[in-house]
Amino acid sequence: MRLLEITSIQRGCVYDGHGVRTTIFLKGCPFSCPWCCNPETQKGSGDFFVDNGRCLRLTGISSPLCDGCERNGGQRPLSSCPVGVCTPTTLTAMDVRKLAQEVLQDKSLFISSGGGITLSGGEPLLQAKELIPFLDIIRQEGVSIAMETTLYDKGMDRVKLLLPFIDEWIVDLKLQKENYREDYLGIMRRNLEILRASAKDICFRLVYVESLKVDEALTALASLEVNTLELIKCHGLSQSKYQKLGMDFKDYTPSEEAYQKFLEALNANNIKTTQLSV
Amino acid sequence: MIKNTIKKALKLVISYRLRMWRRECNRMHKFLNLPFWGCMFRIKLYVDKRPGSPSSARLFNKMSCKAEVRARDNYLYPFDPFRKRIPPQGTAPLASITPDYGLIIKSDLDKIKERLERCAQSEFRETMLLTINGIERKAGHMSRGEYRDGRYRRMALLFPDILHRDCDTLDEALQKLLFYNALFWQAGHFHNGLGRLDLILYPYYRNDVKRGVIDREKAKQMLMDFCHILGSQTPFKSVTLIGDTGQYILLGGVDKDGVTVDNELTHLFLEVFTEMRIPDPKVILRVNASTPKETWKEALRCIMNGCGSPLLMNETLIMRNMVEFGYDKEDVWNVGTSACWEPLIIGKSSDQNNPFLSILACEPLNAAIRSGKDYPTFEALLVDVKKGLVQEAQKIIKDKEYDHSPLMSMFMTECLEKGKDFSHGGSKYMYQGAQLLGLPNLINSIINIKEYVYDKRIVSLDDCRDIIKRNYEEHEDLRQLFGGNQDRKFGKASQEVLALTDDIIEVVSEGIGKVTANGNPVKFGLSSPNYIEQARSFPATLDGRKAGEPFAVHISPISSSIDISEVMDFASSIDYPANCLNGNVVDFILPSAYQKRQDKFVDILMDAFAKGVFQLQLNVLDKKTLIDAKAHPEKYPTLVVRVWGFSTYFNDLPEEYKDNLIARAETYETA
Repeated sequence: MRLLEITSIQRGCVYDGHGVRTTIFLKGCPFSCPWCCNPETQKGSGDFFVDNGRCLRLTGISSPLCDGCERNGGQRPLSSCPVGVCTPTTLTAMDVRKLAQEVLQDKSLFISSGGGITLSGGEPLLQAKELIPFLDIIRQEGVSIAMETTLYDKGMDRVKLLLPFIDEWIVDLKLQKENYREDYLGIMRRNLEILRASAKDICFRLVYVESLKVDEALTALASLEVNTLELIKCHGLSQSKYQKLGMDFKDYTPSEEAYQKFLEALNANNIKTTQLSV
Repeated sequence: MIKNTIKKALKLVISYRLRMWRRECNRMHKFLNLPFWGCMFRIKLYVDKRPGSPSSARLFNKMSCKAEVRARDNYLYPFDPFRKRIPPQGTAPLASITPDYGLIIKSDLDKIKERLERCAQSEFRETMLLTINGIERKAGHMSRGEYRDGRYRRMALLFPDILHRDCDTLDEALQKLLFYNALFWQAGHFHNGLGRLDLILYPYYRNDVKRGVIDREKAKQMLMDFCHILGSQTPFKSVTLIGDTGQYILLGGVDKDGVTVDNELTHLFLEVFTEMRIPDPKVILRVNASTPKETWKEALRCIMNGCGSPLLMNETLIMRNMVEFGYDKEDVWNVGTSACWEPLIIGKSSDQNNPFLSILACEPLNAAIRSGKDYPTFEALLVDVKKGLVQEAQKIIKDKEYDHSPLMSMFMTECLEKGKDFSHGGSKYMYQGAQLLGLPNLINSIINIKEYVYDKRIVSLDDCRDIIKRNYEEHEDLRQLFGGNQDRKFGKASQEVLALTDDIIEVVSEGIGKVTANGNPVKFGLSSPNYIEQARSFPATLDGRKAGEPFAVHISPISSSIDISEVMDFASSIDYPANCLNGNVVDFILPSAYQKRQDKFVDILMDAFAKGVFQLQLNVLDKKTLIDAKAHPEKYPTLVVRVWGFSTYFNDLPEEYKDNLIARAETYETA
């Protein structure tokens, strides 16, 4: 059995489904949105956040702690820096029982608030098979499971595999031109059909960047039969993550005016749109 | 010889009076921005040479009769802050008490006098009767006062009659309460709590509404006026910082029959504080499993509005510890607090919960390192740290000679029965309390030493000694190392951190359990108000803190990697020994996501309290606003912040307290 690749576990989440939730961020994604607020999910499992602000050598502090460091011409990898310059982007491998035990410490809160566990990422569908034993345990505990997903599963088998476990689907739409895929709408229509047939709770989300054009968005939404939507204004709050991962960062935050116009246009065209402000 | 002795004694007395005079002038000059010389001419000191004696009562009568009466916000308030009663040198003031206003509102001075006539203790009887005489004289003066406004004339005419009977209306009850509250302040008591006002005022409110005398809106206006007048002299009532008045209104909690108090006044008070957004008085909400969700929601709305209130208090846990500690089970339903969060029993306690300096948690570790002793193992070092901690805890606890209080004694049944003053054997309970300061700093320091000195062996004890001695000079690398945001830090609910925290708390608990103060067992808590004051002269600590920097606040993480869910888990997993009940507050700055989704945050709070969080206070600030407010105070005249156990205007804080809040906001924003 492969272990799950998780970047972080966030308790007390209030935006990732009904009630209060614990969100598990999983690695891997078929998209690489340049504004992604969890860019570490796009990296390999052996990668690190590198915080050069903590590097003694780079900040001009001479210290015996740096003896042997690769930055000082030594053999010790940066990942072993005692001051903590490096932090792994993947949590220490955790077997499913331990993971379940950790997230279920908030079971009473899930029950009282109507919340539960949310799988997010990255794209959790990529680890669908590995997730099954974990979801089995959560299901047996009677805790609700939500999944934030692109739903971009070409073969549909992963969606079908997870369908019995997921109570609430949060579908993150990839309508921006930066994410253009010729087969996107077709795959989405097929997968949505499966979800709709199962009468599961479905919520749609869309990140607004200025490349999104109203007409194109409306056509795509109509094609996917989306009538309600949570709109997120793109933000640059993850800039420091990009720096620590050595990735280029471009701020896609749109102007408030463009964002409001887009929002109004959606509502005017019978797409009931709420703003999700984080 | 005799002449010399008299001269010496006289000199001492005069110098004490001068010192007190200077202290008061300085305080008023600082808090009120009044010219120092102006204060000197206005302040009138009344040095009480024999508290608890008839002469003391005469002095109080003289002072209170001359005290000016404030007529504002529709009530009369006879507290004159320029007349100060000073207890004799070496006598600790009586502070942080919540009188039983339920009893006070119903009180009849004639009946108290009747009871006193039967009292065999002549000095006590005479002192008390003289005090009552003074109160009646004061009331007489008030009734004859000349007020242009008809409202104030009507209120004045309630006196002295209202002091000889129960009140008929909410309006009367508020006025009677204010009258006695002002006298407590005038007598030199400070941190005067107001107590369970929703419980004790509700019968008057209900009757008024039933009879059509007032409606809900009118009552709300009265409560607003009441709060305004109490808060109108905040700088005069403050002790260390402006806002530190201890004027708290306690809401919720169980009544004598174990039924949770949740009436119209509970909600009205929360509404009033949500709308008024004033820092003084403050609100504490006692919560339990039966506290309705709607009340939690209203409390949260109040917190979100930025008045810093209410502080939430887990009464189930607190009452359990109180009983285990030594309070009677039948009394704990009426738990109140001393100003901030230290529990006592309203109407039965003369507990002094904060009379000592705080126990410096980091001192024993620093001392062990400074000693130069070679500790071959971590365990050997820890043994010495624990021994030192016991000594440190026991060292600060001392017997004290306290002031007397005929006024408080008057409203405590036991005092009248025993013929003894409130603080000298009259009250049922007179426990004292201590505070452990800098526990998070100690835990993080110990974890650092274990990891870096003993496990990884990359730092030596000599390095640590040098750090303490030279304040990290030439050891910036080790400061970075020790202050790193590793997961193994105070606030992380891991087995290792919790076990160490419990172990240290247990050591302090046992140490304190072996000593007494004034013959009584002593409580302690983890929430000290002295995290800046006592840190000023304290050397560097091995958690990355430099000499003079503030200690961590209460049960709050120093690390930005620990979020509110984690710290509440941590706090609810701590094993609080019975005597560890003198304030164990989680203090956090609320993340903005929760400010936007209050409905869900209520669930988080309720769950955390069900799991065992002791007490919680929240600020709703962001770093950007605070920095701007520091640079441009004129733009933020009403920005309220929560400091240790009280709320105050940000602009009224000294710069170092502002910096401390900004630094903490930054830490928690990244959590």
